[in-house]
Amino acid sequence: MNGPIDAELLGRLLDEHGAALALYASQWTDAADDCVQEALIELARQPQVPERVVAWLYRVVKHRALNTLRGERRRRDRESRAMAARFAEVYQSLGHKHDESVAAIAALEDLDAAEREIIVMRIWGGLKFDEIAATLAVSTTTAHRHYEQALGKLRRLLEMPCSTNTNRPKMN
Amino acid sequence: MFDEHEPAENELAPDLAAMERQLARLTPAAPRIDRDRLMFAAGHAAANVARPSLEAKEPELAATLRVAGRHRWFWPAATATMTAATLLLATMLVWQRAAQPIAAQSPTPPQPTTVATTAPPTQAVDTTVSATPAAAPSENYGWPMASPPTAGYLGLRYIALTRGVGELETHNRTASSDSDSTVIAPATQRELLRELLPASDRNTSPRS
Repeated sequence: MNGPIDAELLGRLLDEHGAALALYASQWTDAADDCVQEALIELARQPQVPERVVAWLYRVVKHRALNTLRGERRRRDRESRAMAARFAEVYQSLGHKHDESVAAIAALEDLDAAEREIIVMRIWGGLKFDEIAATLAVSTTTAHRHYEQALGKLRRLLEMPCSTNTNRPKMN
Repeated sequence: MFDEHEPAENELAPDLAAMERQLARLTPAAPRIDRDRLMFAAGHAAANVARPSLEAKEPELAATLRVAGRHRWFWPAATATMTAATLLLATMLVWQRAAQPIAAQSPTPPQPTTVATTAPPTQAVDTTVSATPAAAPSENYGWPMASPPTAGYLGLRYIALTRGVGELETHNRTASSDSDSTVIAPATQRELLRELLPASDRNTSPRS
């Protein structure tokens, strides 16, 4: 995949990974869409397509999002609002009854940043473990182990009584 | 969504796999990105870094762009240079004027005191000189002065005007003691004309 970068490739990456990349960036910043756009423009600036282009995009998006984050306050509040809003838009438009979704997303927000990051990359980004490992600069085994731990923690959070989730933002 | 052909060691426990599927059913919102604007910005960014590859493919076009890029800096550089030179000259001018303060000029410079007299012209000259003896050389009212003449008719005239006629004798004695030639040859008309009007020497054609 090391040919030149063209508009077709950029469009395909935007269509297939734009939503997950924006969700990934929304962990750190409200301006997630801007981060995705800047990452795609940065990709166009490369002389050749990076070897693992999706993993490369996740790295650049994270870098941009963290840059945006610097100097801002109340990080935790923003994380909750931004991630929940990313899912809320879809379910509002589809008119789904989304109690389970709300609980899952709320549990997702209770994870540590590193755990949430790996879940987003794996589930919504569709990255393989070696790509996740390359993005996080850890070994593949470590990436897999962290992913399992994050899923286990998420399951435990979902099995907990709902009274612990009263302070979470509503998605309606 | 993920690769189904990953190594078996990466497989999850059934309960975790169910959790994974449940989460995968959630769909995040698509980013609000203006596709056309993105493509335009991406093309612009790609064009800015495409020089090296253009060099290989289209050397003439790359050379033209290189020259155009160089010329783009010509006028700004010329403007900056001229501005710097102007500032330097202005600074030097101000500095020079500050180092040589001009004496305060009175609106009407004092005239030398002339005494109306019926005495012969030599006495009138004597009176005038004695009225403004030593102040003349130092008080030049800010006007630059040429170095005073020291020889010839003009030198004698200068001494007579500034120090008085009596000084002429002293000057003559000093001059005669300095040099062996004690006899001063009388000035001819031509020599006087050449001394007083140097320009006339070039213009007059020799008489035949």
